[in-house]
Amino acid sequence: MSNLLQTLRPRIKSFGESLYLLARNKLSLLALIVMILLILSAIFANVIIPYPQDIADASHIEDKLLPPSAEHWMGTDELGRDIFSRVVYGARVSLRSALGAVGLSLLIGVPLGAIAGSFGGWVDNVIMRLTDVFLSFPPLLLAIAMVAVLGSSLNNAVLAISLSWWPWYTRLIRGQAISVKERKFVQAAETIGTGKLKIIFRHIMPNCISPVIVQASMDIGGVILTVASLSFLGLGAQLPTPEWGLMISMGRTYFPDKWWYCIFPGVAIFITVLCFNLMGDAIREILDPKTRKK
Amino acid sequence: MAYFEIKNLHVTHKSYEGIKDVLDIEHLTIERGETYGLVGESGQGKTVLALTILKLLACPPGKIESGEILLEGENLLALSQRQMQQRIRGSKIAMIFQDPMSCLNPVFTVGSIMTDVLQTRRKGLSRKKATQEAVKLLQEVKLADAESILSKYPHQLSGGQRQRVIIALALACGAELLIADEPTRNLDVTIQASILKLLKELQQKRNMTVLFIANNLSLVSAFCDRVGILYNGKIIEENTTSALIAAPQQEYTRVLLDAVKAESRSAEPVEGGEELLRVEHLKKYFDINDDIKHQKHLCLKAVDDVSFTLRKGEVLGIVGESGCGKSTLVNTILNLFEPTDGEVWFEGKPALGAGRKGGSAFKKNVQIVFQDPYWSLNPRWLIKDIVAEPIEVYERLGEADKIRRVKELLTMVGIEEDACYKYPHEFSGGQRQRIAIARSLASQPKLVVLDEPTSSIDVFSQEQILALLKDLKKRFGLTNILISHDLGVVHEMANKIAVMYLGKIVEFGSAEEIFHHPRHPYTKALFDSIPSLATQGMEGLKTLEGQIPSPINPPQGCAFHERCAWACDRCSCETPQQTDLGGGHMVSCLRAEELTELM
Repeated sequence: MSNLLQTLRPRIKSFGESLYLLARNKLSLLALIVMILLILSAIFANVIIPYPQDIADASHIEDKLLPPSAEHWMGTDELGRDIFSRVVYGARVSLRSALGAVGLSLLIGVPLGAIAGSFGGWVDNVIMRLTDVFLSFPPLLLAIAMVAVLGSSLNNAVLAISLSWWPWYTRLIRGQAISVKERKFVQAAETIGTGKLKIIFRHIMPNCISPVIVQASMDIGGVILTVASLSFLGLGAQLPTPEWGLMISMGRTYFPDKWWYCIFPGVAIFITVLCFNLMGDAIREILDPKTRKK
Repeated sequence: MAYFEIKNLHVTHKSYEGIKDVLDIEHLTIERGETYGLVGESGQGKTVLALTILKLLACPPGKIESGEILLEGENLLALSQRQMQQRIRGSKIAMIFQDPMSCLNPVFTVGSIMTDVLQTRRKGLSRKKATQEAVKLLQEVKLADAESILSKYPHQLSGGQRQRVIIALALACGAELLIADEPTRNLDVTIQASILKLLKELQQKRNMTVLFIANNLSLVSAFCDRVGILYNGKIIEENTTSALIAAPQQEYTRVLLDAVKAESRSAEPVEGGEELLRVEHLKKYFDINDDIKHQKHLCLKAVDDVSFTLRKGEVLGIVGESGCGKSTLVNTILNLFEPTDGEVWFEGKPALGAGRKGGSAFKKNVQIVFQDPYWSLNPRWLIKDIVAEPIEVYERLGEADKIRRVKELLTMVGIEEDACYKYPHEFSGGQRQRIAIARSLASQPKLVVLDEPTSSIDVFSQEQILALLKDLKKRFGLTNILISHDLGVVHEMANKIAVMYLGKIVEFGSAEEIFHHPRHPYTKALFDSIPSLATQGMEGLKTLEGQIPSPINPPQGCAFHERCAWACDRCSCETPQQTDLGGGHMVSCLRAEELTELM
């Protein structure tokens, strides 16, 4: 137990330092607060939302398409469901699929990149040509094609997005690994006699990860957008899931008379993506002192 | 009124840990035409001072709390950035930075960098005039063939040439005060001497005032009229150079002085035991694939036919200019590089190309301590994992036993036990080097290679590290190979010395012999070009002219003949063989016999 505490102590200290650096930039601080709120509301969506039954296909036709009021903060949709409840619950859907897609891409991309960069030679060639194949398709198009094969569902959309996304991480990590493997501690490990795989995964990879963390945190915004786009096209989340893109797609027939139907999910997407991008910038400033503003 | 004056300057730096004083200088004056040496180690605020004078300090995190910097009575701190740019920087104060590799923009030719500076400074200067001016400046800094250098890119020049270009740039606008921030730090000793000579000459010719920043008292002793010692942002002692060296007042000054006086101590002679390592005709050539010019069969002979024997308990010092192949030699012996040819025997068994099993026994017995402890420890590992890395490879130990071993090792090198749960960045350079030493001993090796073990840590720690290394060597009966450009360190540790030039060992023998009776002209030149405290004035500093020839295309005959003061016709066509002068003193020089009297 005391060992665990001792192991954690330096991490807590560096966390404190990161927070200090982040708080120097007011915009990043704001983004962090909004992001924490978003995550909390995604986790506790069931507790927060006023009409839990509305996230499924409950219908109260008598209340349909009501404008925002004290009772329904963001109005209601064509089935009389509370849009506020659905937007808040939508945060859970979007964040889960975004984290899933980015996480899966990292899981594929990072080890491949580390292996390619550390080994070089033909291994590198094979892996990099594979990434080239995936990169030669526009990501949205590739995702559409895959969903068309696998069938439309949110999970398939997430899978499709990760398959088109991982090559970016592979390239990023590979570039880093090529420079990290020249560092002295890698040579030291070689003289010690540490195994090749251990060198790659314990020495090289952890030292390549910073730019990937930055990239991934920015990508979350992009993936949320892509998921929303796929859902908008009917290739992602299916009714009655309260997914933002899908909600906009349903609401656009009532636009602009019943503006609240489209606008509020749109604003939710906008704020989420903006926050993740700002956080990405903030994380980069923390991890890479060179880009820090004076 | 003094020419340049600093009064009550107080600069702070704000970070997560809080606000820290980085500079607190009560008073500093420099008279016109004087050379003022500011000595201190890294982290004592030397560079911050230089940047503050030029108003280039990044604020925040830096902050100038109070004080005045007066140049001819004018307070520089009160000027705006625009005024500094127009009237002070370049035209009155110029600066030479420490790293000539990174302060020339690599995408422009030297010519366009220089004419650009000249044209910005002097409006209405035509391009042709500016080019002529640039040629004149390059000739002034003694760059042979100035015209062709103008059309070259920075990466095509050697470190010494680049530093000369930078000096020319600093002169370009007629600055009267020159701030030289460790101008020779990344240069070789032989080139260092010639750059210092050049600076001194230019100073006298142009009647400049020089603020010379250095981390080492021996550089300053030859170069400066007065010296100030900077410690923790304060000038703790100031005096004329000779008085300061003769009678230092502060403890810190004494430590700095001792660090460069190392020649007074020499390694104890060791009865060589049985043979531990034998290197036979080792060669390491790197193929150069010039895809653009399609030139075939080019290779860089980094290590060219090197043989030596090391006995148990000996310390072999390898010296030579950078690029001579010292590190490649060691890396090849350590099996980090595949050798082109030759053999290495360890305890009578072949160490190269041995099967996996034999190879790992060799690796267990041979460990290395690298030069830079900032890069040789994985920044993302805890100290306990770093030190335990060899234990994990060679022994199966439980977590508790492992921690106990790590703590033993740390105590042995003088690091407190609770360091286990810290990261490398929480330690100073000296402490990190101790941790690196602890790691190198974890697999209980017989041979430890020390690659410049003290060159990137501060002087306080240097002495302690050397003492620790000597102590450990005695305790465990270790054998060492020591690479260093610091002859003081070599003198203190080594009892055998190999002098390398262009991939070859040109002289090999006992430390006693080589230090007192060097037989190869290169060895002699190398020793002479290193400034020591005894060097008074620049006349005592001998320089070795010329650049190191390219190892891709080494000169015919003796590789050193182009720079050798004693070369004769024979030297340019005949390749010298190693000859034994008796007592294991080997030298590769055609004129070794006759030169004994001449040198």
